[in-house]
Amino acid sequence: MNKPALRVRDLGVTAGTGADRRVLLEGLNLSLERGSSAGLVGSSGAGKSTLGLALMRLLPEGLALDPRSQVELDGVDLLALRDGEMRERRGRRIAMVFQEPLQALNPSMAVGDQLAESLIVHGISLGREAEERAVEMLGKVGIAGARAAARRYPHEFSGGMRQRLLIASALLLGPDVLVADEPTTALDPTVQAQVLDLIDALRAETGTALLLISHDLDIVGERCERLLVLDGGRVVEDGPACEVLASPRAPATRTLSAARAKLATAVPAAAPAGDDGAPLLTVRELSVRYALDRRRGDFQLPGAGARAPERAVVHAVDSVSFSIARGESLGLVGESGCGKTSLAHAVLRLVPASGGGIHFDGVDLLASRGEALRRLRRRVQLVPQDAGASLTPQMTIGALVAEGLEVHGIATGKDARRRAAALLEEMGLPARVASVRPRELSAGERQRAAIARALSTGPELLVCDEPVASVDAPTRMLLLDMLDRLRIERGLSLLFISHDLGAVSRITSRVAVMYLGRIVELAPTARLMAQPRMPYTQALLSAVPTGDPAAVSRRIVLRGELPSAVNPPAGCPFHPRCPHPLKDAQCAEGRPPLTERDSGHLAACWKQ
Amino acid sequence: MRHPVRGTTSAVILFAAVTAVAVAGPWLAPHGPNTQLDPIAMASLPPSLAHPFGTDTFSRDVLSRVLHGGRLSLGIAALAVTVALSLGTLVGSVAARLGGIADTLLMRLTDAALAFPRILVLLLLVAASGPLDAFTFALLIGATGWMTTARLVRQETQRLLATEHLRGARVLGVPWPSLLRRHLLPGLLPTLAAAGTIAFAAAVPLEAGLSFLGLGVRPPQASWGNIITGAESQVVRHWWMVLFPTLCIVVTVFAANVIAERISTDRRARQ
Repeated sequence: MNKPALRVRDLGVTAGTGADRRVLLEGLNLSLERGSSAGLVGSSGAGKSTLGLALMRLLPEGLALDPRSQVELDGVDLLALRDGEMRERRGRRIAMVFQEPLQALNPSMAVGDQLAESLIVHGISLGREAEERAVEMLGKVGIAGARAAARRYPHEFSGGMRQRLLIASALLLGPDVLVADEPTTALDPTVQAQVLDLIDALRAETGTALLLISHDLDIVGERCERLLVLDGGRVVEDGPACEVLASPRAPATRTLSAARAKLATAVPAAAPAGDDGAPLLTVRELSVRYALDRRRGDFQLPGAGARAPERAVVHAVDSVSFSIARGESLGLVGESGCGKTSLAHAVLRLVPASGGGIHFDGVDLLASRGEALRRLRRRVQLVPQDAGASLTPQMTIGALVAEGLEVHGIATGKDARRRAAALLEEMGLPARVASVRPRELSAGERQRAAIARALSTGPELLVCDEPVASVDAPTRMLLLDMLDRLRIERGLSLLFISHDLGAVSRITSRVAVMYLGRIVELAPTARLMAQPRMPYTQALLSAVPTGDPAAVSRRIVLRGELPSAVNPPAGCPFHPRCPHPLKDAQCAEGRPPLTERDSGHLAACWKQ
Repeated sequence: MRHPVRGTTSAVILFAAVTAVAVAGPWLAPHGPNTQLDPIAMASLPPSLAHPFGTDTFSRDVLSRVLHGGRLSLGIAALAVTVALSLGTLVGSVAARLGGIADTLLMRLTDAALAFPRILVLLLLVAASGPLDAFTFALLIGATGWMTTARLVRQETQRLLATEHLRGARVLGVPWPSLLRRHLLPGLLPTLAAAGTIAFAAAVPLEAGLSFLGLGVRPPQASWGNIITGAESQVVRHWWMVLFPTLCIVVTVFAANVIAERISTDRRARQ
């Protein structure tokens, strides 16, 4: 047996002093052998990130280590080291990957220079040689055109690419231990699979041990040998990953496991309540285009340097048609940047449509102005991705919910307050919530408040834009159940946008798959999950983590990233990444139409 | 990491005290501001128990003049700040809301206005208009100090207009006036507070300087600036006539600047 690379004993962290003292971590033991991997899971607030920071000795001010704590790296207690000695080891021997790479990268330094700098600082190589090794590392993490990419700045890369940059900088020095704190939480499932594969491949090369921190049991189950479950700052379960997943014992593990089981088994939602009459929402050949202009500061334009275009048009939504019946829930899935949110914003009249039509209950939504539009807004409401940002921070929750009643003259003054309180109660929030401001609530509570606000106007259609992306798995389940209950009780229609196929399978009866601004497949949810037609849908589905390490090798890994919507590929937009064995010239030339294959199952593919 | 601004509490207390004393000045003053106690026996007396700040060459009680003058000096500064904030907010928010050519024009106008030294513009204006009453004088100071506010407000309004919560309010169907009042203005308040304190710290010495030169508040009416006028040539012999009003100006501006820094720091930390 190997000597452990990392051994943690009695690690404890407290916040505050005196009466305000809170224990964040307590009596934590952990040992990680060279080249092995352990996963650390827990709900938000369980102390996961605190552990990662404590190991790196990067705890923020105000948090204190328990004096008994020991963190041994290769036999040396990191906590007893002087700052300078710790600095030598940080990055070199123990490295960390954070959830939000943009905050961990220096925005004013070319990425190649940032990588080279760490080589120079640690005295490994100098000048030219350091630059060469930086470029080599960028190539290893799958960044195309590494030499040119090395001269670019962090903001010029997409989210997935930034995470690769961070991994490149973390593994560049071949550390003994890598702490990865939710490295893929902000990413799409397809990119998530790529990034985790990359970490595994590089670790196999360097023998780096991995501590993977996540709230997702499935990810950790697939990638780690051991599994530790953290709850309230303590390890409540610790064992081989497959055993813990198969028979969870601690209540916290069971809660996480229950949320997971429900997500993975596609429960087909009830049939639409009334698809007898005309549909509530009809979208016909809708297009949304944005003009980008570099001089105006639109840096998402592709390319850099002198050859980059000054101006371009993004086809965010390209001739999309669908309809939603009353009481029906339609899912909209696809990778980030596929146009999901632009489509939602067009339906909400937040961005202008460039072509096509949107009819709501027979009324032309795009032609409505002024007071008529305001009356329509009452009937179409938004459940936002991040309620923390979408609720005005200076207003109380009660006032925010009452506002919907007041601006539409449904209720005023005391009456509005009373009805707002009733709505909040219906969302399962305690009465005190009405008098606090958004930041005093947890992410889950804020999301409920945002739903209450959306419901205040008595809408018929709820546009849910990634409504559960900012909460942990157990909260996600509760919110999904609540949305589904509201749909049934109030006869609401839902346009449910998400990249989380588990959530979509739970709450929708039909799903549309978007790729580069187009709908490429549209089918009843259960059928789409069971028999996807498009190779793209198949890849999306196979990217969903299952907790089974064997699934990793069966996965259809899409190479590359979503192409830019500025220059969409000719022919089938998916063909450059398509893994289909029969892919041929037809795919590269002709754009496949969205046609019906079985009853109600539409797909746009030449080969299926 | 946020760096706390040390001494903010002391600065707030100091500022509040100066303001309170200035407002209550006329009631606290033992003598009238222009009462000549005894032109021969009581002229140019150094500080004593009876006259803590001494008397000036016309045998007027300096303490009483400082107290009366404080009310006028701070009043002029406050009015000037109100004018500057209103103009700046108007220009900044309109530029941010309209965007495009209107934005460019308004901001280049702001840049142009900033290019002229403020003191020079004021000197020219006063020279051109002749003697001014305190009210007009305050309006002029305000009218030359809106540019910084306009820039800050434009930037902040642009940021706020793009926030999720403003989009959320639009989706809810909140009409424009309520949108501005309930969702935009509260977010703008910290910026206005920062701009206001900075403008105040600039307005006090401007008023004092111009009044000292005899171009602002006209004698015999007392202001912190013109109390010094005439005494500066004998600053060693008649130090009390210069020291006390100067001290008042320094303390006020210093406190205002500390408060301004704290507000700005908090504002950045919150973004």
